[in-house]
Amino acid sequence: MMRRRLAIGLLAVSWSVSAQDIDLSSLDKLASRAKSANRVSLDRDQVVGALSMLSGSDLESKKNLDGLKRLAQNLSGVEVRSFEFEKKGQYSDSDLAGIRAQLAKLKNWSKIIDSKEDGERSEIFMSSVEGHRGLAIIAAEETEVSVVILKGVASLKEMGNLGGIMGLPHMSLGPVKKNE
Amino acid sequence: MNEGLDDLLTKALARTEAPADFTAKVMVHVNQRRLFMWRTWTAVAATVALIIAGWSGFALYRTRQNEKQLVFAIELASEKIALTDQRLKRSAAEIYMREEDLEKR
Amino acid sequence: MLGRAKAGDSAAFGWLVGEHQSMVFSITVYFFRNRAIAEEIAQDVFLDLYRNLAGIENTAHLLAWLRRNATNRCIDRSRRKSYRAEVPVGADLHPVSWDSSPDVLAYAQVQRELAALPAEQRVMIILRYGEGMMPGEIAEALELPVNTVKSRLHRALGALRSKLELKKVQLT
Repeated sequence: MMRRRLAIGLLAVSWSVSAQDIDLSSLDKLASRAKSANRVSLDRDQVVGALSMLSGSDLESKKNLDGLKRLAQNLSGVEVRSFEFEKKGQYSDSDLAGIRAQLAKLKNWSKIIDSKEDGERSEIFMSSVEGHRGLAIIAAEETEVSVVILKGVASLKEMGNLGGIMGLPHMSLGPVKKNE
Repeated sequence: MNEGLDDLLTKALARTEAPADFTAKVMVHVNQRRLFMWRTWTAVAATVALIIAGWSGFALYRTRQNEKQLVFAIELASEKIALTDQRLKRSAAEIYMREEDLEKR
Repeated sequence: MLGRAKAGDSAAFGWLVGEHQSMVFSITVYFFRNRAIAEEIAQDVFLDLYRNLAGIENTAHLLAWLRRNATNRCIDRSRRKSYRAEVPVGADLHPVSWDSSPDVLAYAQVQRELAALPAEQRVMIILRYGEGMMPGEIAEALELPVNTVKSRLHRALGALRSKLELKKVQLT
């Protein structure tokens, strides 16, 4: 009985952990093929520390800083793996299969946009479970692939509110409509 | 006869002006890319600064790095969402569910 | 300006874009007869230029690079995706204002028949007559044998002539 309770407890813990965390280590091998690679991994404490340093010294205006701070206040963690390659064909769709499989398997993550054009693809996922909200993006372009996970972002609208500042075009993504 | 076709082709294919805002649009994309490249060089420059400054500045350096990484992550996400936005406007996208439906799950 | 752009001066790069956008846009718009696609591809050419500025040696190299990049992108795009020419007869593709004079109608007919040619032949015609390049210059810019350029030009001109004569476009 005790052993069964322990097993169920462990399963619950592992489920709640796996519901939050997506393992991006399968992407590490791309670094050796890339001409530039960026890796970001920040937990909640590091995000809070980083927020305290935001001074606008490298941002164009206070408006940028305020918008960024508003978004970042909700962040409980940030993961980025971004790779740029010299020429196309240096990574393949199968390199992203592991990440996609994890996101498909996790109950709290749902794909809300899958957009393809000219061999490029971006997929946007959201996690809507209270306490484990988040946004995940897989962007696969000819010579660049990026995976971004922002834990704590509750909706695309929060990201869309950054449009028009920081030199980015204003985005109209927000509540999505079902494709006809 | 040859001169007639040659002349017609030369006139029909005379240079035509690009849209008035063409350069502006290119520069928006260029600036987005400069932001991306700046992050990479900043990471390299920050590493060099760490070696020179020594361990006494390590904690401050890490926090500064975290700040830059945070900004990079958010800007990268915004850039990719913006690209998706533009793509959605141009071609059919498979959209899986409404955000509102997602909220109700 | 090229030197300054290579050194990272974005205003100088903007100047280069302004200076050469007409050339690049003309290549893409005559290739596709679709302004939206032409503009998108022309933008991609300059973004690619920005990424590869370090390798551009001088202005002549820059021009050849732009032409090669633009034509390669046009051919690649035409293979990957079907598209429809959007522009009505004569309206946007000629520098003179729209009118129904025989010349403008003839130009529009030529542009339409050009857009129906195979991509590799179309590119030859645009570079030869739109850019005023001789076959040797086209061969060098596209890194093709000059005989290949000449034979594609010859086939393209033959096809255009018979189509235009069929449509009673005055060639003399």
